[in-house]
Order: sequence, then C-alpha cells, then structure tokens
Amino acid sequence: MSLWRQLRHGVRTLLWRSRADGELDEEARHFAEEAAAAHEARGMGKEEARRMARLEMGSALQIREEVREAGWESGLTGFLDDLRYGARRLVRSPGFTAAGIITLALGIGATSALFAVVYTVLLRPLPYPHAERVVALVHTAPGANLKRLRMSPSLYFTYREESRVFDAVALWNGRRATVTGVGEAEQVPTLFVSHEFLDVLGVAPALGRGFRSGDDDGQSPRTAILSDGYWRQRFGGSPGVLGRRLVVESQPHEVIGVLPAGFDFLGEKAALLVPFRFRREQIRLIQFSEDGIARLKPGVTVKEANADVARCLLLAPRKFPMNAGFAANAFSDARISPTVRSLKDEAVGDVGGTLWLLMAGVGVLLAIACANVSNLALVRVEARRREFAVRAALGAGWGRMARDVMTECAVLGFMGGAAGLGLCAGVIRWLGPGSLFEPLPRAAEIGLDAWVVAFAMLLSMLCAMGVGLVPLWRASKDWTTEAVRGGGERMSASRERRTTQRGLLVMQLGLATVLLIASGLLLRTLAALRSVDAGFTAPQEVQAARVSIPVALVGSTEMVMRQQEAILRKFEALPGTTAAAIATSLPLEGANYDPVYVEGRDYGHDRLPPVRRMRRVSPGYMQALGGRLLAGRDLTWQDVYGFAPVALVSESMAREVWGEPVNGLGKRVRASLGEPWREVIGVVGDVRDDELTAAAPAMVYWPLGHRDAAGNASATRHVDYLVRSKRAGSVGYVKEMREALRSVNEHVPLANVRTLEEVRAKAMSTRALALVLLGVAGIMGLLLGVVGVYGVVAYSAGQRRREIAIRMAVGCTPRAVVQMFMREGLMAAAVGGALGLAAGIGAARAMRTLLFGVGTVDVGTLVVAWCVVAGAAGLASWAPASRAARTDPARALRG
Amino acid sequence: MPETNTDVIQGTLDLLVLKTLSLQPLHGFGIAQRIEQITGGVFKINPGSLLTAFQRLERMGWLDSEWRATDNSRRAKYYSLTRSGRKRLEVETRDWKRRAGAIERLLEAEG
Repeated sequence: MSLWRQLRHGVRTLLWRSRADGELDEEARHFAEEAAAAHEARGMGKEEARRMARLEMGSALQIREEVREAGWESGLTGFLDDLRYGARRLVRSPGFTAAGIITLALGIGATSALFAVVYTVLLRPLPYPHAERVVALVHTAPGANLKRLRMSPSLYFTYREESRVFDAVALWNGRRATVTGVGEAEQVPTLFVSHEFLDVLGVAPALGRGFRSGDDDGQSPRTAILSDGYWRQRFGGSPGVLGRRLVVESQPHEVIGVLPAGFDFLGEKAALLVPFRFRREQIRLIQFSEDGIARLKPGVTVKEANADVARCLLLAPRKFPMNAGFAANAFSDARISPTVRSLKDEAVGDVGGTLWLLMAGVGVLLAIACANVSNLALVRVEARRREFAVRAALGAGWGRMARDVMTECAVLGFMGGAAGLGLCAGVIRWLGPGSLFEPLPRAAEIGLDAWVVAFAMLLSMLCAMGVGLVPLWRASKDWTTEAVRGGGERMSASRERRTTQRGLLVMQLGLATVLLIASGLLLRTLAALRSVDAGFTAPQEVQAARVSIPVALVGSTEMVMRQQEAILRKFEALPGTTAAAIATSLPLEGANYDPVYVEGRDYGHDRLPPVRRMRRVSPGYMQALGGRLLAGRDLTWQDVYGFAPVALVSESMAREVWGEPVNGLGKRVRASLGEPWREVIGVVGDVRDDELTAAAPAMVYWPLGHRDAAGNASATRHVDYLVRSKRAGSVGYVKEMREALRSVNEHVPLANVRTLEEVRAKAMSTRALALVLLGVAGIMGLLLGVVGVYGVVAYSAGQRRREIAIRMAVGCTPRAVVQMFMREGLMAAAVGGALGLAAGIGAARAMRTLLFGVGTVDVGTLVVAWCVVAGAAGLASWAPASRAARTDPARALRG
Repeated sequence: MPETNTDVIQGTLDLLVLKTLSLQPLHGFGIAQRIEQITGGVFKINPGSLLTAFQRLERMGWLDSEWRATDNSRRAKYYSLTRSGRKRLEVETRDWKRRAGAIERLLEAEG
C-alpha cells in the first residue's frame, strides 16, 4: 500500500524530524565524500577535489530543504510553524489574549453544554439494540374527548394475535409496589409488565432468566426480576438471590433474574419487574390504564405500523366483550385511532421545541462573543497595518499574510475551545441530580462524551474562522502598496475601520436585545402562571403523600376504608394540621376518566356519553385544597361507608350541563348504565388539572368507595393524602406523619412525599428552565455588549486624542466631547436595539408555545429590553468619554 | 564552446534510477556515477534531485533502503529494487520505448 507507506514515512519524518534530517545529512555527506574521492582518483589535489565536490553538490541545507519540501508533511510543519508564531504573538499581548479566550470560552462552553443536553435528550438513541424499532403504542380517541389514550389488556391481546408488523408486543405499567420482609416495609418503583417486555427492548437479564409466557397467566407461581441497583442495595449483589422469595404487595414472589447494570426504561428507575397476571377470559374491552410498547419487524415503518394497528382496532370488539354497564357502542363511539410513535419520541415528549429554542439562545450568545473577539482582532490587525503594507510591498503574497491573521485567530479559537470545554464539563457536573435539568427526560444520562467534545472542537474551529474573517476582510483592503505611504490616508482608513467596528457593535447589541426580549417574555409568562387561579390556595401548605394498602394485607373493602379514615384522623390530629383529605390523585398529576350520563338526556341508543375527568375523594377534599364549595354540601363519611349514590361536580361541568351551578343540585348522573343514579349534592370550584395553562376541565368527584354495575363494593387502595398545615414541607412534619401512619398499620409505607407547591412548580418547570437559561444568556450577552461598547469607544478616544486636544484648545467644552463619544455608543445601541426589536418579535413568534398570558408583541417587554440595552451602552460609553473629556490639550499635543 | 545539455530529461530520473538499481543495490553516489558512466556522460545527476527521487521512490514502495558499510568501510545508505519496483521498471521501460520510438519516427520522417 503506497498510501500507507506515504503516511508512515511522512509521520516518521514529522515525529523524528532531527533523526530524518541527520540521516539525510549523512547521506549527502557520504555523497560528497565519494565525489571528492572520485575527483582525487582522477588526479586532483585533496583540497581541490573536496572543493570541487562541494561546488557540484550545492549547500547541504539546500538539499535538505529540497528533499523535505517534496514530502506531504512539509505542508503540515509549515502550518505548525505558523501556529507557533501566532501563539508567540498572542503571548506578547496577554490582555487581548485573555479577553479573547475568556469571551470565546463563555460562548463555546455554554453552547457545548447545551449541546450535551440536546444530544442526550433528543438525538442519542435509547440504550437498546436497534432502538429505532421500539415503538410506543399510543392512541387518540376524539369521540371520548381524549387526546391521548393509553393501552388496554384487550388491545394488547388483539395486537399480539392479529398484528402483522410487530415482532413482539408488551404491556407495562409503572407504579409503586409495597415490599415487605426485607428490612422496613417500603414502596419501591415497580414495572408491572407482560412477559415479552424485555424481549421488546432486546434486553436480557444479567443474571438468571427473563419472563416466559407462563409467568403472566395468573396461574403459575409469582415471579420477579430485580434491578441491578436494588439487588446490590438489598441483597448485597449476591448471586444467591435467585430463587429467593420477595414479598411484593404482600404476596411472595420468586426472584428469577437480575437486570443488567445500565438498564433504563424511560427514566422509570424501577427497582422491580413483576409480571401482570392476566385471565384472558376475564378481560373486558375497555380498561385503558396501562401502557404498551412493541418491537417492529425489520424494515417496517411507523406509518405502516399505524395502518396495521388501525386494522387491528376494528377486530378488538369482536374478540372481547364490552364492560358491564357500558354502552354497547362505547368502543366505536370513542373513535379510537392509533398514534404509534417511536419510543424515543414518546420519551422526549414535547421538550424538543424548548431545547432547540434554548440552543438557538446560546447560539446567539456565541455569535455575540464572536463579534466581540472579532472587534478586538480588528484593532490588532489595524495596529499591524504598516507591517503588512511593507511585507506586501516586498512581495509577500496575500495568502501568506492571510494565514498570519487567521492562525492567530485559530490559536485563540483553539484555546477558547479548550477553556470552553472545561467550562462545559463543569456545567455538566453541576447539572447533576437535583438541578434545573432534572425535569427533562433522560436528564441523568447527560454527560461529556465524545460527541460533545467533537462538537466543541468543531465549534471552536468555526469560531476561529468567524472571528478571523472580518479583520481579514478589513486588512485585505489595506494590503496595497498605497498603505505604505502612511500619514495622509490614515483618516479615511480609520473611518472605514470604525464603520466595521460599529457594525459588529450593532450586531452584538441587537442580539443581546433579542435575548433580553425572549427572557423578558418568559419572565412575564412565569409571573402569569404564578398568578393563575388554579382552584387551590397556598399550595405550599399542602403536604401530600401516597399510601397503598395491598389486598393481601387488608382484605375487606370496609376495613380498607376504615383504615384509610383512621390514618386520616391521625394526620388531622398532628399539631398544626388544619384540614386533611384523601383523593385518588393530586391536581396536575393526572386523573381518571368516566363517561358521565346525565338523567333526562337522550344519548341515542347504546351511544357513549361525553367522557369527563373523574377523581374519587374523601370528605374535606376541597377544604384541604383550599378550593371552594359553590353550592350544596360536601361528602360525609356516611356517604363513603354507605356507598351512597352521591356526587360532586365542578363549576364548569354544572355550567355546561345545567347553566347555573345551583341548578345542578339534586340532578342525577351516573358513570354506567348498570349503576344507580347518583345525586349531585354539591358543586365545587374549578381546579386546573391538565396543565396550569389550560382551562379547568369539567369534572366529577365520586366518593372513595364504590360499587360496580354488578353491585360489588370495592375500595380505592392507592390514594394520596392531602394535609394542610403551616408546617407542610418540613422534615419534622413528614416524620410525624410517618409515625402516625405506622401507628395504624406498620406494614404500609408513606411514599411519594411532596407538597402541592412542588407539584405546581413541576408543571412550570420547562418554562422555568427556559427562563433561567435564556436569562443567563441574556445577561451574559448584555455584559459582552457592554464590554464591546466600552472597548470601541475607549479605543476610538485613544486614537483621536490629538483631535480632541485641538478641539478643546479652540474652545470645545468637555461636555461636547463627552456627548461626541457617547453618541457613538448610544447610536450603536439605538440601531442595534431597533434591529433587535424586529428580530425579537420573530423570536417571540418562534417560542409562542412556551408563552402564556403574554402576547408575542408585548410592548412593555420590548420597551424595557431596548431601554436596558441603551442604558447599558450609555454607561459603557460614558466612562471612556468622560476620560477623554479630561484630556489636557497642552500635554496631549506636546506628547 | 557550444554548451552541451547534460540535464536529465524531465521525468526520466525515476527510470534511470530504477534501471541502475535493477543490476545491483547501490548507494547514492554509486548510482549517480553509474548513470554517468553508462550514458557516457550525457546525463549529469544533480544530488538534490537524486535524493528527492530516492525519498519519492521509497515512499511509493519501489525502493528499499539499508545502512551498510561500503567497500572502503564507510557507512552509506544502499538502495535496492523491491518486487513492485521491478514491475514498475518494466512498465516505465515499455512506456519509454514506445515514446522514444514515436519521436524517432517523427524525426526521421521530417529528415
């Protein structure tokens, strides 16, 4: 391979340059000696022969150069020489170098750090083999007013049996399960799965076996697979764990396997995998409370998968019976259609737009940084004009001098990139758990990997080029012999240079304005969100925690409810508690849905009535939330224990159905055809439930205990407690709650402890993240802009010292001098600000979906942003301007 | 005195070196001397060009080199032809003969 030899020889020459040179010299010397010997043999004198040989050979140095230039590596060594020269020049002006490196490091570091986030969250494939073939089985049901419908066991079996596009289909549900018998009772995050779950992901256990088809049939012995972390934490990583019994939800499960260490599923942090226990013959058509994933056959697209799932959906009603009490056509009326998408898209959700927006934000910051450094470099090229002109006159080519300018920027870019990468590594470490980025999916995976390093390197190269281009362009105009003449043309040239500087300044200030506008809009958004009436008050005083009572622990429905009330009473008795209640879920954390029939309405034969948001609650729920009871009365414990056919409805529901809230009282509703009518005994205030930004949905509240269509009573075993107290959120209070719970049932843990305020903050977290990042970018951009203004004005004042002295000598006031220079900064701010406003309106349009309670053209924000930029520019130019005004004409003119 | 052109024809140095080495391994001066001897002094070799040619040919894989003691016990770098160098020589020889023949025919036709 001659290419390989070329490379090898070249690299060898590069690495052992002195050795290669030595060999060459020796070869040349030998040549000369032999030549001399030959001459001598022909009868020449010794000295004469030697002189003759040397004459024929030419200088050894020249030969060396000649041979060396022939190799490809000479281009590289030339470049390295340039770099060395550039670096040496930079070292000689530490101020410029430090400013350049710091500025570029800020820009490159921030951009790379955000790239690390974008790459991890949006671009990197999920950690499964052929992850692109793993899809989430999601649906939409416009007929039931559901934008997003999950999976049901009936559809799981349907897809498994009928589909032509999937290699495997699995059902899963992430919940907490109570584990007893290994230390203290605890609730651990658990994935309930059908047996193909790991096959769909393409993951095999590190120890033991995976689930088999028998494991989820409801008859074979119960099994469980542990996560690596749980295995190490609870069983010390002992392989002897296989075959051991683990009590999950009060049922013994045999441990059959341990997951590999890096296993992750949508950030669920599951400690256990436990199979569902299906009895196929008991499955009814509608029970959309699970989630589904599937692995596509090779070569099948998501679009084809959707088409096939749509076909299967038509088959489901023929395979499974309708739930008792449901309208016969409920399934078809819901108009379920598939929205199957890749599991990655499902994992990422809708943060993609926000992240790209933030990426654009730091990109703008980087552009400001580059403009800043470019301006500095421009001044340096200016200082070397004479040198360049002389060199040009002596015949130096354009390329040679351009290389000179560019290598200086390349060194700067490289150093800035290296420092930026360090900064990026620091930021990423700081991004760890508990940080701002935690609400992002896959946040835990964010790290400094090869892609981020490559990105930072590419970025620093681009920055070097971007920074160098403007000074290069300016300098190339001067590289004419004309510049050597000196003196005369200086004024015009420096005016042109100032125009370029101002152009860069306008760009910096304009971009800073855009960033400020974007963060201003987000600030207003967050303020608007904070003042939204979500339907609850003082959420920081509501302590919430989840309590689950497994069937195996407390069997009877009555006993479950008694225990739940007993726990509630204990909480109420804690010092500082003012109200307490139980609910199936918290506002903003997802509720259930029920079709709601209203008495006297004709829904057509066997048709599905409107599907409403539903939550089961104990008496006192609205009081604990700090919500309002608009009409009627609250539930009572008698209602709960007696399975009284009563209901509460929300204000918007009452208005929609009966016109006025009061009119709803005494009316009757029900969730299925088989159950008795429930009387509406109270109308309560609206509570926002999807998002803070969306209007409160129409909602019904059923009592905790209920009877199904067949009259079987059942309790709600997984509930959240809401306890209102000024002490909410304190460690002591939670500890007292734990003790109170233990005094009622020592096998039940207190799980998912949080305050309602934390729930509300989580609903705002994406916007808060965007605000903080854009805000930081905006402030840094403004600072860089200020430095830029200061630098340009100060430089300009220095250059025009004599001119000012003359002006002042002939009667110009210091005030006029200050005005003259401040005008320079303020003009740049005015023009840049105006351009920034235009661009800012465009940016606001791009971030429309993030905004709430504020329009895309918000005059207040625009004006404030402009004023801030103008004020900062004014201050930045005032300092050098006033210094210029203190010039002593006599001294300046003499010096 | 009319100047006699002793420059090596552009592009033929490689051929001369390869041909010379096909007989036996030689060091740089040896090669230059051999070429001058055989061509009867028609070609005089510039040492710089020769050493550059060595580097090029070695990197193409047509030459091997080795430091060795000479007859008069000095150290010198000896070059030898590799297998692919020998093939290259055949190709270049054929090529040269074709071209030289063509030029000769052309000149004769004119004369």
